Amino acid sequence: MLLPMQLAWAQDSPITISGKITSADDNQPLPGASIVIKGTISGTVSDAEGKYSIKAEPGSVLVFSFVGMDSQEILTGTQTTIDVVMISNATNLGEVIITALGIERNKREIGYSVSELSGDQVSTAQEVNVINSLSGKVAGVDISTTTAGPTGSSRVVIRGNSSLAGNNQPLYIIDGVPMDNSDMGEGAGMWGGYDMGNGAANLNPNDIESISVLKGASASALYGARASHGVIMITTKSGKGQKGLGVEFTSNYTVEKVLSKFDDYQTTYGMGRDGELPTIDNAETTQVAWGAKLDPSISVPIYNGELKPFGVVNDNILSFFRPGSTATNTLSLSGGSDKASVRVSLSDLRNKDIVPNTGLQRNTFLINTSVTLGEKLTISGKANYINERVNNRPALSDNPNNVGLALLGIAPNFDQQWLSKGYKDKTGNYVDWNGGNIYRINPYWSINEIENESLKHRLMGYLQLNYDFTDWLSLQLRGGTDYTNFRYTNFSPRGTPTRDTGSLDEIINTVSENNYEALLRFNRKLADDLTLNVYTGGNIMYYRREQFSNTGLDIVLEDIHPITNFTRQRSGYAFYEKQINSLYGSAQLGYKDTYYLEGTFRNDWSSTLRKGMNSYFYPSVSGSLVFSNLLPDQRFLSFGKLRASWAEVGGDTDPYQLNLTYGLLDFSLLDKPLGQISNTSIPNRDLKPTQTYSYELGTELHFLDGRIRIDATYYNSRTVDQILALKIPSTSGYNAAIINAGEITNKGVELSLSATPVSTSYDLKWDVMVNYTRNINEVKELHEQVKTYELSAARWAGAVIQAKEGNAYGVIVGRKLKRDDEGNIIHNAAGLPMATGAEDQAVLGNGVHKWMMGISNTISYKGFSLSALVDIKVGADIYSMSNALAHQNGTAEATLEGREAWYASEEARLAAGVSEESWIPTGGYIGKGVVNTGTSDEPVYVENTKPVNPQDYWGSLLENSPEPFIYDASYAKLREVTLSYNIPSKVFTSTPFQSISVSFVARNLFLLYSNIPNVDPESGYNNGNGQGFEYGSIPSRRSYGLSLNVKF
Amino acid sequence: MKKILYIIFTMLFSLALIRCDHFEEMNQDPTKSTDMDPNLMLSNIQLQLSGGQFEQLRNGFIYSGEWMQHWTGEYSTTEFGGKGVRSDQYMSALWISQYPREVKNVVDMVERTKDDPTQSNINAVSRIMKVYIFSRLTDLYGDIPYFGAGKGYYDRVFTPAYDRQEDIYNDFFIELDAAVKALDPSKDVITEDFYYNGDIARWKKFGNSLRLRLAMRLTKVNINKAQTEAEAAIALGVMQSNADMAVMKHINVAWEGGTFGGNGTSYAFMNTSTTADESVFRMCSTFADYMIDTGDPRLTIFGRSYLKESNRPTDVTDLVYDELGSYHEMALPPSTFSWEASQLGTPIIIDVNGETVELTKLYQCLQPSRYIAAIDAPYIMMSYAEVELWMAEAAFRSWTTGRTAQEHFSTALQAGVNQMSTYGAPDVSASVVTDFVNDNPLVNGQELEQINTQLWINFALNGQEAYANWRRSGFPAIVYPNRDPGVNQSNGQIPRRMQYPQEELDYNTASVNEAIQRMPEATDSWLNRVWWDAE
Repeated sequence: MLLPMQLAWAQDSPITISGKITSADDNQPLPGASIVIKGTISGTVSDAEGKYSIKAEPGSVLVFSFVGMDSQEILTGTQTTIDVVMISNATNLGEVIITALGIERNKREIGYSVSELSGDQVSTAQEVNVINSLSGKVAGVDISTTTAGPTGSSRVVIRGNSSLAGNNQPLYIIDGVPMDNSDMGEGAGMWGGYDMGNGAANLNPNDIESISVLKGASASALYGARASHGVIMITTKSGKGQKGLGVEFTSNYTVEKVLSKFDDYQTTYGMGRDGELPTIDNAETTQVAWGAKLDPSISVPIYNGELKPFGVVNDNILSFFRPGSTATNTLSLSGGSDKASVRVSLSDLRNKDIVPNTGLQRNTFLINTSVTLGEKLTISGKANYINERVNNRPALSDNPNNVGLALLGIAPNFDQQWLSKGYKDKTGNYVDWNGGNIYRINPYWSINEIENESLKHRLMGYLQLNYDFTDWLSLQLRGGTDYTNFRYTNFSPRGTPTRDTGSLDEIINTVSENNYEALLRFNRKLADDLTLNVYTGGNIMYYRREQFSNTGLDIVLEDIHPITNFTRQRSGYAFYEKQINSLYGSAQLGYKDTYYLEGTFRNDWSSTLRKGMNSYFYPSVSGSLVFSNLLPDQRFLSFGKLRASWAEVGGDTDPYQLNLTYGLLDFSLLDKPLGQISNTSIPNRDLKPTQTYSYELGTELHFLDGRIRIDATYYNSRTVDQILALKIPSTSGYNAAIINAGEITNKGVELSLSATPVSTSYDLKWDVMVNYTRNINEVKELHEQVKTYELSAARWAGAVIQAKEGNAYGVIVGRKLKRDDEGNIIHNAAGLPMATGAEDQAVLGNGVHKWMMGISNTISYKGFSLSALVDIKVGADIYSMSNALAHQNGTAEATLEGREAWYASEEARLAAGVSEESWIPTGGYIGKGVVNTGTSDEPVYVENTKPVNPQDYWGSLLENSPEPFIYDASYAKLREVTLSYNIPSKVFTSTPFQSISVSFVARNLFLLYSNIPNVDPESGYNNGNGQGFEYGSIPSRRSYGLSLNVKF
Repeated sequence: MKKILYIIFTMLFSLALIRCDHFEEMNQDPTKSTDMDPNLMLSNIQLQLSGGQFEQLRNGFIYSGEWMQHWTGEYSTTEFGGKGVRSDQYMSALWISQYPREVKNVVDMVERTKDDPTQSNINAVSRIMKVYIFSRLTDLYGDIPYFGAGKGYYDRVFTPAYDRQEDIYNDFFIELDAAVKALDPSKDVITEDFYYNGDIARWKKFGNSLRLRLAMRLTKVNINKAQTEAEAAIALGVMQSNADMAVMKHINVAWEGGTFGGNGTSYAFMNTSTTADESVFRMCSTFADYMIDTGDPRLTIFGRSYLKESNRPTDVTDLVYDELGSYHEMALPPSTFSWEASQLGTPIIIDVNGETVELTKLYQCLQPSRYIAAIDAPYIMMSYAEVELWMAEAAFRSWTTGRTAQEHFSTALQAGVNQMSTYGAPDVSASVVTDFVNDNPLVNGQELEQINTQLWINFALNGQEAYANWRRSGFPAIVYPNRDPGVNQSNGQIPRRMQYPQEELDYNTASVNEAIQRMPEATDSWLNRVWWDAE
């Protein structure tokens, strides 16, 4: 079908085609745009009026391109005139970008830093959680994920942590309406838990038109306190610009595999203790590798009584995980006319995680529509319905069901598959596999017997009226909502350790945030060179969260588990609401397209502070100078701008922080109610609003017609009077006190360099983008009585993460090993290392990275495009409790040293019939360091030579100090690789297809650099402020697959 | 178009109408009360005092209990208590659980009722409970925040000072005296009381008995004060029968990580399971041997041997005894891991209902019996037997008690055996009790040892009290097996107190350091003695 037509055209002689190229932004002609006949070297350039003329054979493809604009390919037929309207490319310069309140502005005018990404940049190699796709792509934005994987949340921090009590995460605005990004559960802490995901994780990447990141307070001042950690503004695709019906189908299929490996794992000794073979009384030492030397000719009993060879089992742990997969299909229809537009999309995502029986299914439905009635009134609206079902979210951290924790210490002779058979006895009872440690459940019991499930229904949308009084005065009214209903159940059958009568936890959350906004816009040219834009408006934000919870204990019928099937039930109810009323405004002056000045103000009234304290005003001012306009025309510096801004932002707090209240426990005992003070933090009636002051300076420079583009920013912010729950000693009766306190500063630089080193008319193009971010944080002041603020704790493992006066936010604090002046570890007379006293807590590290870099390269040739992104983060530390346990359990390679010698010494001792006290060991592990042979006042340090049982040495180390297990968490990851091919349109000219592209996509392919054994450096167990703990991590995942995009 | 304009302006107008007047109301949590009847908090405090597995395991069993050698075998008790290894996690458990829970609420109860004549009884009851709570804390740790503790809300004291134990004890006596005298049956009714169901007369006896216990603590450090307070307490009226015991009731409910109604000691015995096939503890030979020596009928009420089966259904105590002929053989030496049992004895074959069963040493050993380890077993906060034993010592010291030391001692033994029925154990026949009492008269020159060893038996489920009285009296003479000198951190001895929690060093630095400065070598060591534990 195709071939004869091409042949027919080939016989035609060239005709001359001419036309005019204009910009969609301002309808002005575009001089200097290039027009090339695809697949040839012949081409031309448009003249000063945007006009061009070219000779081409009918059926050839003309490629129109211009820096900063999306290239267009147009198939020629018999027509002789082709006018082209070029649309600016969102990621490049000169673009119109969306700023606070959804106001579109030319980027050149703006006095603060804004970064923008196109939808393609997050949807080609997509993740289940679209926010993770921003990683490494935007300067100043730090994204971290939890070990929970696709079902989990992500943490986004822009320009450093400035808040102690708040979550430091940005405000999400979708199509102008704030979105709730709260977690649906508490996440995992010191004692474990589940990552229930957060709000931003639910979006369908294929619906995203663009993402704008407002980083500093000046950019976000109009959004108020919730935006003081920046704003991520997401615009979804609409039917605008689509004439007639457009159909688009996108399909992604990726496979997920285990990325991190157990690379510090000894294979010399097997399960057991004291170098001895496990016996039937000792057969549950599955997670203790201090046994005898491996010898496959010996058989030993395992926990279920079976006999197994005592040899190395290859891949004995990670074989637990399966290959995962993610399939996403999105179908969208769009259409429009001059007066109306609509876009509808449907998507279906099915994810199977690497953890067996864990998976996620998400369906989204989105309709975006707009209609103009008459000349002046436009009504638009959006509805986005999301339905997400997650089965068996992985338990994290110290939760007994955490499979990562259960698999962690498995001895080298033990194949995890042996746990899959016989983990329950004939009557269905749980069989002990690890010596009665009920806090680490057999992983097969966890995945097969324990079930958790969540179902989320979410509706986000708005209705908006725009009325143009005149061409310079308009009014916008909008009501938006984000409503979520979330139901979570977690069922443990009878016999589950710590839940031995069977239990069901059920949580139903209903969360809604409604925003009602009115905005009056005034936009006028005052004189030829002088423009004035004024916006003023008001907003009412109402947030409500309601939680019903139920716990059922003592199951009746084993095969069903509604809550009524439990003889004992406890129910809870929590309610939380707040409202903020605001008035705000902004005025922008522009002079000669060169000088710009903007001022904003906002006043909030918050329900969470008491009368007299709850109204607060804050202004911002910013300006920019396009100095390249003042320079004589020259090619080298094609665009140059300086910008500066200053802003103040006020903030409120959570509700119910002002009064002491009392409540009842969620159960009664023998018909007596059980009452108590419900506050765990001391309330404070006199809270003042929090204030953040910041300024930033920046420049944007384009060289060689935009072939090299530099954007640099210096920022400095200072947050004072923070409202926070200050950790206080529990001897006060409370764990915390609500206070105004603290001063935290963040200063840093963001550099973004993009260049196009190669761009030829042969369609060969090479783009490089480098982002660099350095943030310096200091906790200047906390409180007169208390100098540290606890962000996270792992007290059972001897460490806390704190904000500590005079240090950077997020230090890991614990006891240090005692050292002499030369830094040698001091051992006691028994040959074991000593730690400093409990009162000498030292800063052992910091869980926040010092600098980050993203490097992306894209090479396109003809229809092919290859792109790779390397994500680098440097300078953070992580306390790996997994590795600490690997040493305690004897699976780490370091634990081999001295074993043979110690066991020989013990044999000799027993042969001699000497007691432990009177025996001088002939060998063992000799702790590296010194021993004090002097007195405590006048120490004399000599090299330690005392051999000890390595089992005691490594066991005592963890009891004493976390120091040896704090690792450098710096890493470089090959974050993303895509290879796309746009099938030339002439291949399917006579078909309904408009474009077809196929891509190979991959995420998190390799860890290029890492300093931590066994676990991925990106293995936090929650998205909270206290980053820097790792425990029982599930291996990280790499994914790769194919993506297909077809437009009709 | 006019219509549309009209709609727009109506909407704008209604936006303007939304004001902030309702904010104060909106910011009041609708699920919480601002003024709760303090009686409702009493029930909760009573539950938490004996319902927490966390602190019962960590302080009650891992340290105090392991050292007092009633029970052993469980991993962490042997690894930490048995070997003398410090763990901040375990040492701090009582402190970090009770200050923000019992202390916070009891201080609030006292503060809110203190000058209200219509709440004088609940105020007095709160003060007795407050002394009970703080006495356990100070006995374990020494100098602690007391006067300013729990006052974070009322006085905005975030970092309370550490008070000297002597000052704390002096205040205990003042408080108990005042509280007992303020109690008046004609005043407000105590409504949510598990111990005495609001019976004011028995609350008075409990208050005085507690005063007697605390008075006896002072015999080493201030014998005169001890006598004065003990005699005052006895004169005001202490417990007179087992019916006066302070007993907390519990229910059989699965453990969920906190206090949910079950007995915390039982959760510890049964590794938090309500259906465990065995306890993780075994009776310690020190405990068994003393009861063997005295022919104590409580031996086989405290400990039973069970087959390893769901819910420990088959009791083989008598069969094992018939085979071994000795209860000593049915106990584990102190500081022993349960997995080491097999090295200490050989399996035996017994015949259970016609089936031949092989029992390893571990299952020959006595486990905490179904009576005392049931999750719904009651918890005896203070027993009448204890009170009679204190009076026996007081009488022995020739203080005024109204009866002789022997009379008190005999009564105590009788009450001690009979109180086992509180756990639902079968009654011990009167003749057995009488024989036991008659076989164990006070022996000249051994009175203090006999009395205090009986207190130790009485505290078999309350390791902390046993540990406190052992430090005071030195009885029984416990031999601490320093089984692993390489890792021992207590100079091979039983430590004398618990060290302060890490969180105090982090967040109450100045106050705790002041207290540490008062200690020998200005060191927060667990070998240091508390004030009343004078050398």
